[in-house]
Amino acid sequence: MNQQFKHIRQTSQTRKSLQTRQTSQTRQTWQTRGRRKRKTGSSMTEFSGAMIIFILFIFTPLLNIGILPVRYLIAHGIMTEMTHRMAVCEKRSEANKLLKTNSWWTNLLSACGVGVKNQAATLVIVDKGNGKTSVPISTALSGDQLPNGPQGPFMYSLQLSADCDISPLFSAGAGLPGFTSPVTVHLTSQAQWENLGRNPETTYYYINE
Amino acid sequence: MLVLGCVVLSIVGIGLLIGYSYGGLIFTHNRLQGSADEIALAGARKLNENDRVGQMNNMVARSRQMVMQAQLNLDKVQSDYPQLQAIAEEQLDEAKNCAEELEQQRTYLKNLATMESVQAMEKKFDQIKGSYPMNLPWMKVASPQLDKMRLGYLENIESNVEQLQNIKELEDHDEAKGYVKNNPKLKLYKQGASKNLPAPNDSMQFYMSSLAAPVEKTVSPAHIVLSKAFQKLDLPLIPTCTKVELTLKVGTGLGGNANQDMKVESAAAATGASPQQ
Repeated sequence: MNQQFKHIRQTSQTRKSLQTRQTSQTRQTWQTRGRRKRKTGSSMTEFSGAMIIFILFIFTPLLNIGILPVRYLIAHGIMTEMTHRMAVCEKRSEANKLLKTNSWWTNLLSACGVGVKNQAATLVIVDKGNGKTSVPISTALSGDQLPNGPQGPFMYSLQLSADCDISPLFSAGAGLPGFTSPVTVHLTSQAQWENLGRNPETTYYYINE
Repeated sequence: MLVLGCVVLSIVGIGLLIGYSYGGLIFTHNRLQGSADEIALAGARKLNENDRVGQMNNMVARSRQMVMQAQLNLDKVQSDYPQLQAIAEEQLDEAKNCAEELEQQRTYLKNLATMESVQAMEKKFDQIKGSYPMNLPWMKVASPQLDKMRLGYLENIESNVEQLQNIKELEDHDEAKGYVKNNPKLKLYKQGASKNLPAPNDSMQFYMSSLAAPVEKTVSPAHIVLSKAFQKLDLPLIPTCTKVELTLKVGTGLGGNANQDMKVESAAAATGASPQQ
């Protein structure tokens, strides 16, 4: 037992002496390096240059591009809301009027850094054979395209499309799209037309008024 | 430099995450709007289930016509055939009793339709609300609250009943009182205030609810409408339109920590009346 204790004590003493030696050596090495850096002064110069390059060529462009998908999401969400509002209008003419007179959504998108242009609404008609027809919202539907048409029943959807200029965070107005100038994306949003009834005053379908 | 690069990239990442969380707010808003639409539509579909409101309106109009006809018969009998007065009086009493009983049934239907519609909306809400709570570092979404469930009618929609013909006196009275909407195509009884008969039966109540009329056999399906088209009921009418308001507590979690109550409302109109058999 005593021999075992002696052996353990010796081992721990050896370990301590080794650690002390290593620590002093490391300290000496650091001191030597520190003296070398302070002599030349080059490390501070490198740091500032690298920092400028880093901010200019990595940080800023990343931040600049990174905002694009966020703005895309916002633009899509707001367009979906506008399409929904149009699709629940009583008449097609009211939906068209809503698009022309209501600028809340373009103003909101503009505030979010997204410019909207060439907005247009169409009625997408899908017949029972999955045939798809698009009709501008201002155009009256023909008799064949009405709910009681020969190819019916139909599914009617209102589609709103627009060219959205999505700006990066720091936009110069011209230059490389996405980096210094807005990226133009064609966005569409669709909502099912709700009112398929007929107006008792005229007997026409509301969708065609 | 490596540490600095990692720090900067982390800052960019967190910044973008904050941005995405704001984008997520709009996505959540659209989802909440969809849920509100579903709830309102579930309630609206129940209101005129099996065309019960449409049939009630038709029965009210016919009952009114029957009382008017019985009164005219009594007036004629009293002047021309006094020996038949007892039968004519009995006929009038029966018509009046029928009208009163129908009014009771109409009130019962109003309560039943209201109750079933509210239950349908609550059931739909219970199905939906569990799918909302979310607690992510950059976005916190609580469970939605069903703040308001209102029942009313849709503006510019009159009753589904076409003006009844064959009794000239009643037609003149209705037109003089403005009970009928003068459409070029369909002349429909207006919804709302009681369509009282001329004296001596002017104390009887005949209410007709707003409901989309069948036009050339086309029945108006239940559909979502603009919230501003919803009108509150001030009279004891059967509701034909629902409106719900949902509130959802959302927060972006990171950055500005924008906690807010997101509110959406939606309205839906009941299925229109079917053509009368």
